[in-house]
Amino acid sequence: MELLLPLFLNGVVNGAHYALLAMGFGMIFATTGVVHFAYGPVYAVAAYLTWWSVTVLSLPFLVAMGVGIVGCAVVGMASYVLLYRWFLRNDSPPFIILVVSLGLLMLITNLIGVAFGTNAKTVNDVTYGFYFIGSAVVTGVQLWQVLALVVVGLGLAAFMKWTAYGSYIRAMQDNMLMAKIVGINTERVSLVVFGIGSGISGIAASLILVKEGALPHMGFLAVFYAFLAAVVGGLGSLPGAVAGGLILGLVESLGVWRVSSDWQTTIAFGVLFIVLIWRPTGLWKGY
Amino acid sequence: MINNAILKVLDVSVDHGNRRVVDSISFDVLRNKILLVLGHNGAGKTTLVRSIFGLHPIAAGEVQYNDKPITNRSTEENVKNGFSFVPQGHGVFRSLTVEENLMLGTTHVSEQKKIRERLETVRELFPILSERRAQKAGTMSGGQQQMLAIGIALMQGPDLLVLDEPTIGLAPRLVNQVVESVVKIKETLGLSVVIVEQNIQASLPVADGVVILKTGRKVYDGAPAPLADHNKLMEYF
Repeated sequence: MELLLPLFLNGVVNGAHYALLAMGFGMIFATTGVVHFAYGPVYAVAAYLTWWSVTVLSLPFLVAMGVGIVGCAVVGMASYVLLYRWFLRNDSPPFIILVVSLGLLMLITNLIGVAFGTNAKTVNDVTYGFYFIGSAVVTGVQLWQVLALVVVGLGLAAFMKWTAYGSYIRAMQDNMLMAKIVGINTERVSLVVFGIGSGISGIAASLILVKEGALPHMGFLAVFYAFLAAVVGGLGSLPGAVAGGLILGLVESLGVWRVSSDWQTTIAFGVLFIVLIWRPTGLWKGY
Repeated sequence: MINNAILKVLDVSVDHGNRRVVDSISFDVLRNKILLVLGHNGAGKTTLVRSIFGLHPIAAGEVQYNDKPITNRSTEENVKNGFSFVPQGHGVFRSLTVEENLMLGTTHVSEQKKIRERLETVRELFPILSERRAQKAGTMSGGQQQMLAIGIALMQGPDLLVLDEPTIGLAPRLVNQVVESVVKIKETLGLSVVIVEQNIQASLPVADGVVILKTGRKVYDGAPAPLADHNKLMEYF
């Protein structure tokens, strides 16, 4: 039983990470209709830029994190402008755009490998504390991960509710044709959404860099979990992304209480199947 | 000489893939008048008005708005310049409230005074929207959603309003209510209106001019009076 608390806390921390990823991924899909699998390597770009800023430029971690976030937001926006926009303008079928995003995933992943090498990159100069919660130990980075989810979640909710661009995004998620009819510049809003969605993944990437380091293929698993959490929670829903991420994190973590950790991915898919049979559109709808 | 046409459609053709669905159609929309566009299902009415508004590319021909070419201009530019469109099938944002829907009609309006005035006008025309302003649009009846769709367009402050089958799917009582609203809007706000319809009975009496399409071609362009004779009307269908 004494394992339960650490497993629970680990589940919350991993869930917060998945939820952050799901927020950005779900926002991009629900607004633009693009299943942006290249979201994974774009997330990896942030980790590598943060690492490069810390180790090569000797920037303080928070500044380096900013470089990573802005850098991956720019890469995300570039992927929309240079690639997806053309296919969307030409009314390409969704599966064509899906194939394009998979191609982009491979391309960016390989470019990262070519630019930075395939060995793991770590930042050792970032110091953080250790905290006891009952019998469990939690690191400062893990607390940052949970805090990042809270801050980004509340900030995004306020943005969606109170700003003009937030209402345009909600309008596009509801009815793309009507959004065009009322005169919303849907391409400009899509660009902003790619920037925000990718930027959110950059926050998660910078924190995972401190915790686990960076590898060129780190984006594969990240986009996989982002996709799962977003679908379980309800694509495009902010509370859904949080719920989906936390459910995945908790089930996955608590699952290894009784079974081998080799089963973690299987458990995640099991959760997806159960939720989708129960609620085919995910747990949540709307903001 | 004063040109009385707010919109001129000159030999416009539209394709769907390799198929021509609208073929060399021309007509004028006169200021402060209601033009009725009729035709059976698949005649090309919706494709034509969507293309004129910028939602579908025009393959050939020209569209002029206030004597300036607007062929294939973006919907955003059209809305900014006083050209609004209400799509077929209750064009609303179902998950947003009535108030949020109306405010999305003011995407290009920065003056708060104008927004307040337009909101007041819409609420006077459709008092139900005022009562239901916090309600999600998707939970309202079909007739109320249609009023909201027209309300969104009016919030844009248009000079020209194009309505694509505004009475489709509505109960007969609501059909008359919607048509009466359109006439009231034209008269009180001085708008020019294009109504695309299949419901001839309700819309013909309020029209100032009629264009009839048949399989993508124009087969009638003139006054509504001769079409009051059912046999004459059926010649064009």
